[in-house]
Amino acid sequence: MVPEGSPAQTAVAGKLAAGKEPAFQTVVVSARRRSIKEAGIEKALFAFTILSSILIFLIMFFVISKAIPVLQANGFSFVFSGGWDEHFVNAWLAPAGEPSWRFGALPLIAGTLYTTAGALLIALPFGLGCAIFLTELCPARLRKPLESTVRLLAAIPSVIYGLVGLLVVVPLIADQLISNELALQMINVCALDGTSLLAGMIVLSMMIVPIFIALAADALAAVPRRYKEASLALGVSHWRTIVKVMLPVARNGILAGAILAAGRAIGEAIALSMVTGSVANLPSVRHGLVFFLEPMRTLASTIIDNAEGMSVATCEAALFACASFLLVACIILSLFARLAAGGIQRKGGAAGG
Amino acid sequence: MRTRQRSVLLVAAALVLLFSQFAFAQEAPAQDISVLVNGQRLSLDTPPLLEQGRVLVPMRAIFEAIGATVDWDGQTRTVTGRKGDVEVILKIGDVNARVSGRNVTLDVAAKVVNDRTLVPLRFVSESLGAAVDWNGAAGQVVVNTAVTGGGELPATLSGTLKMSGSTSVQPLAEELAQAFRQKYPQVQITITGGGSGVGIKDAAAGKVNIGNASRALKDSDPKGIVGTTIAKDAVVVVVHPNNPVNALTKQQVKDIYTGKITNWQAVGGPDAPIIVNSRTAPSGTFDFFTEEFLDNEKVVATAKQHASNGLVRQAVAANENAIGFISMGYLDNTVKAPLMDGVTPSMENAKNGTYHFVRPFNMVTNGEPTGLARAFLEFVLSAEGQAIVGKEYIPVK
Amino acid sequence: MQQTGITGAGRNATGIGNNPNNSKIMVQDISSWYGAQPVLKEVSMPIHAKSITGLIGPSGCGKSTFLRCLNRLNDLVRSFRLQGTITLDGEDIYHPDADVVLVRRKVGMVFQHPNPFPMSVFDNVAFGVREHNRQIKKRELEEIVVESLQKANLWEEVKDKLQASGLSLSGGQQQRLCIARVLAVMPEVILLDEPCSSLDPVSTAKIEELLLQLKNSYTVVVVTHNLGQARRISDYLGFFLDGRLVEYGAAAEVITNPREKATEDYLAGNFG
Repeated sequence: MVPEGSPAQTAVAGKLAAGKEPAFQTVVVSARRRSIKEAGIEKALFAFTILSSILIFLIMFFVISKAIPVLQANGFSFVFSGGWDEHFVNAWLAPAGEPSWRFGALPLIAGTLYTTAGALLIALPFGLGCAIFLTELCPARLRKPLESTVRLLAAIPSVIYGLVGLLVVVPLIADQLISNELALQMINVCALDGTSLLAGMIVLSMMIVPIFIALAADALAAVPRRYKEASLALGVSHWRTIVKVMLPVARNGILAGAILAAGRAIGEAIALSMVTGSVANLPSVRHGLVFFLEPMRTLASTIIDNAEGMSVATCEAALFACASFLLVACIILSLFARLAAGGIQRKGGAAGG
Repeated sequence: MRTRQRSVLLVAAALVLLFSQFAFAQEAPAQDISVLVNGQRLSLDTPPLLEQGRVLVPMRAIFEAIGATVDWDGQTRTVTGRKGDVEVILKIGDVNARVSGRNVTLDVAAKVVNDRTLVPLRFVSESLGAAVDWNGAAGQVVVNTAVTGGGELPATLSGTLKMSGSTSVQPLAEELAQAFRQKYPQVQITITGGGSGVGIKDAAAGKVNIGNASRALKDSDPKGIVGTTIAKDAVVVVVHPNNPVNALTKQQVKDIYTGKITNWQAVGGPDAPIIVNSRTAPSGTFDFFTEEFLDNEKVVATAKQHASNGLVRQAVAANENAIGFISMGYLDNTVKAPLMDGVTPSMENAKNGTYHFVRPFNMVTNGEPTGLARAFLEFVLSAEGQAIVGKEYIPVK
Repeated sequence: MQQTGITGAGRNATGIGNNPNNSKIMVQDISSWYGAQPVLKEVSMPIHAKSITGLIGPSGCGKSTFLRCLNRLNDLVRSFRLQGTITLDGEDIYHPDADVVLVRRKVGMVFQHPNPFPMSVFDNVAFGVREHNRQIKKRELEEIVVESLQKANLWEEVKDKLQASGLSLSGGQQQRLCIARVLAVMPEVILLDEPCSSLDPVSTAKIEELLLQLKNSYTVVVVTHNLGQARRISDYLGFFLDGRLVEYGAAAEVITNPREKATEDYLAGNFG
């Protein structure tokens, strides 16, 4: 009846202990020993935390300092102009005495944003639907196998997704969506062969959907039963209970899943380099729906594809500039995550679970 | 209609082939001769001269390239070159020369052309301890000073040999390593890729014992590295097997890759766009391709950039309208290599010099190779090593 | 039919059929299982309209499970199985054609631990109303919310913080908020599962007072562990032991003059 740790209970414990002097001492000694041990563990954890944050800052410093020469030489035109592939060849072939520092990464930066946004647009609604099905609607005997399948999919290396994209998605796009006339019409702008922004979006969404399903399903499963019961007991249907009660309560976890998925999407290199056409082309919305069929390349893919160029100082700095943009994007993403989570807590109080 | 067109085309191709065989049966014209010393192309202000099967090159370039000092006595018209304790003395117009005090008779004497003194390449190089390979048909001379392949190999060896670099060289390096390990089971060899640029950088930084490069070394490469040319490889233009185009000229390839031709119709194919596949700039294959096929003009901006030979082959195999270029070692039946300037791009034609588009495979060391790296390179350049090279590539001996 | 069920249950329960026409819910011979584990055994019992029925018994006796049968909340447990019938105003709520959502609208529930949604006080009360009538006018909704909070004796305490989180209230206030939430959807029956077990004596007194008010308009069923509370508020009392309804009757009678030995022992505090 008496809640744990209430004053009454403590008083009782005190009386009992006072009656048995030695037992009291033993308790104190072992408590002190334990507290010393715990303090040690706490200090070690604190040190690890400090160490890892120092490491993160060192990495940032290293990457950005390597990128500075290129950023200085180009200023804002690094972000707002194109021509990367030609610039890279020029820099690579430049004689030792007269290095070429001109780089324009607009197509790469835009390409990264396009693929990530597109993949999220496909993966989030689909993944949320799957997570709801898994946690709430799926027959009990199917749930376990389906969950393990999803987790397995999340662990598949990205190059496998790249291969599937290359052998299935790219030919499908080439055969179904690109006519000879269209390709001829566009040939002076870009080569349409199925490797495209669309292929990148599809493959990337396939890659991030399992991890998002797993995290969103965990978040939904962690919604306290009492909220669901309260809603159902009010005569609210199961589906409305999911939409109006469970999803809002699980919002934090779902958002965390989405951000993790976005992080994976932004940094993905191999699979995208295989299916997006590997050319620093900026798909243009002025071409209408052809926008999605145009080949392009992301920042991460560029780093991988052009890594051989590291032996030339200008090329190396340009690749580090790409890397620093990725780093900054990830930092913004995690800040955004923190802000969003904070907003939810302010609004709904301590959103339980 | 279609069949007749095709047969006409076939006959034409056969004729071209026949004539080209005749044409290249002669020795290559002198201006086409290229000289590679330690993996680096010898830059010459006067083209090499071919006389009675002997190649003559400007004296200063060759002596300096192989690390010798050279003196010119205008009075006696005598050239004196020194490397270590070896001294070579040549007189203009005189077939009698001296090597470290010994009299030697030459087939061809040194001579003056356009105020430049030309000396016989093989005599000078070999006298100063370098190994020379002269493929007369292909018009290419390879000179290695560091390793000649004639050295004695030790009875036992142990340790770890690390290599990295070109993916073009990698399959060959792996086969050579396997044979080397059969001789010396205690030696461990690791080979990783990364591309020519990475191999050269790793070797210069001491991260690996040998860096592999599928291109000639350049002035912009790190200082202090020494290349040894171990083999030559052909680069082939490929199209989809269903593509009816069976022959291309170098000019057509250049026009396609620089964006002047964008429709297969222009080179005898269907009315379809040409999907251009290229390599990323740092690859040795790209370097060679822009130099030899494009005469250093820029690849069109719409070209897709691939990071390896395998990816280019895959991209071409996947699209009927694609064109690409790969190392001949990667040629298989998923793609088709059209006749190039009327010549079938085959290993045989590359070896006999009728197929021109051939580049060196270099193994790069930080300074002169020592220890395991030297032993390995000696093995690679030995008769046994070169026999392995000869199975799929062009040996340098 | 109804009569048969009642006599069948008469074996182990008394006082059934005192006023059958007045019963809002009829429970007839129900048995239930979680998997292979029996929980309720042949329980029959009427629940009278506009009165408080108290359910008592030691932990694990099945009284909470019984309560959750009345609004079909046990359906959430996959392994749950039920035999027998429960009628609400003569309609079988477990009939295959019965609308479970409608049953739950008519039979509201308040849980052992206060469980307001992580939303504002206003939204907590408005939630069910909005769900049942999505086109409801704002004025109308506000009226219902205020009225429900007033009925739950909470209005004076929260009228200045309707936009504060429901979770920011004290435990007793949270429980009354949960009651207001149920009242807002206008149920006919209110089930309460040990509603005061986590509250202090002052809050408990407030809830008890509230329940006595509510029985004038609603049919109330309360599971309680607290015999004093059962005595204070119940009109009818059911005593559960080991899945069986051992004794049932008017509260005063069961307390002062129990028929069964087990009931007497439990009331005397000999176990439980």
